[in-house]
Amino acid sequence: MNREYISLLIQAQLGDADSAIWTRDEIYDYLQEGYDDFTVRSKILWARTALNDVNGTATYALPTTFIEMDRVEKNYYALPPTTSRQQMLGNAYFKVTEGRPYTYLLEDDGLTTLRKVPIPSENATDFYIEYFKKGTPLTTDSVDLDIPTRYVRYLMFYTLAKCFERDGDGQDLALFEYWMKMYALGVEMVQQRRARYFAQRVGHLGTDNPRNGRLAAPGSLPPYFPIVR
Amino acid sequence: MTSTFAELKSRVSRRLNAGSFWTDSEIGTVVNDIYWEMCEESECYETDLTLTTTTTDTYYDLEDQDPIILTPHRVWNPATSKWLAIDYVRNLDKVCGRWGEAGAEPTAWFMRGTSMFGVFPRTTAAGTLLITGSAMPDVMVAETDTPVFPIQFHSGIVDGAVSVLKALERETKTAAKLYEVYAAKRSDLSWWVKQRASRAHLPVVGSRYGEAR
Repeated sequence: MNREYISLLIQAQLGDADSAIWTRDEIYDYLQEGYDDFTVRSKILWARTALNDVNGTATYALPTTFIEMDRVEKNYYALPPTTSRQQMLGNAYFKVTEGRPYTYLLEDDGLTTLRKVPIPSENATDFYIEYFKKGTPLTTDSVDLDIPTRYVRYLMFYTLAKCFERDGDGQDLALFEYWMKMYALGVEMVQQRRARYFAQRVGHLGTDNPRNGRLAAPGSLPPYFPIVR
Repeated sequence: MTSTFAELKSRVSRRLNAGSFWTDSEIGTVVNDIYWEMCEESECYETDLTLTTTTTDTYYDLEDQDPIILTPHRVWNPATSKWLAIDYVRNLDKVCGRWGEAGAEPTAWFMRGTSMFGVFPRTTAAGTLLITGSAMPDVMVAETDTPVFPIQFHSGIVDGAVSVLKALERETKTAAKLYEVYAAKRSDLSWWVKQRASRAHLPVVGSRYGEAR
């Protein structure tokens, strides 16, 4: 589903098929805005991509759709993030030291730049980043949306809301509120869906599946607490 | 007793009192949209998915499967006849350093992002996993199709559809009022799904009552 198809649907729903009130470009703007807002707030899109080591290169541009880092991996090992302050305390020469990267920085070099520490001393293809991302920008009519089709209707709700919000002909603030409420439901559903899984994995005392590393701390009740009848 | 797709559309049309303003197809589309919204929010539909695993993939997108699994509940490995344990990537990083490299029959599963289903270890031979969980049902197509949830919640579909169509007619007050009714029925369905089975009470630290419900 691409922006042209969606905007035709929206214009039909607005009853403005000939663009007398809302132009096609205006609808495209709102749609893109809604697309970015939806993906950032719901974090629905997740990706894993290679960020290959280049001998002697410390900083690497993150993908343009990057929102938030989830995990970084080198040679199958997860790399912990660090801060410049921590590095300064441990190794004042961290910006010039070369070797095999064991940590990374997401500060001081710009918001969308990753610094590998130490600087890679050889080319390698085993460095991966896993991150939440925005969708591919809808710059042309041929670009399809990255989100599942059933969520596209929430982008339409956002676009409808924005059309009714703007000053001038067609403004209706009550409808703006209505469609924004419908849009918010879509964002909430995605957030809840992720939360359900994270709620499942948490063990409570009394459950039958205490995981490694999640056993009760010394001095607390045992994991197999008896059922009270 | 159930409400068929045809009956739901007819009830929406009658409530709109709009004659031929909305076509049967337009009403049907909105009815299905609301139906899916209720199903997704409440996770009322539960089914199995046979997932084909490969030797090269650790992650599988559940949105690309048929049916779409919303939340996996349990995973069964037919090759070992064992349930897979639920795990978490931070835990794997902690207890099993190069877990992404390992190859054997999967023993654990975990989620990444919203819909990426991960297995540990990555399988060494193509096989299948049986995932049981909440899923998206098929949309209603035939006139005799019925929603997957019980009839007492079917009026929520009608209220939701009428609300959306009234908003498109720019009858804002009616749309907003019906939205509240629809939201309440959605919430009712979600609560019913969560509480339809009564389970023995397991005491949790901080809970007030120790008696079985």
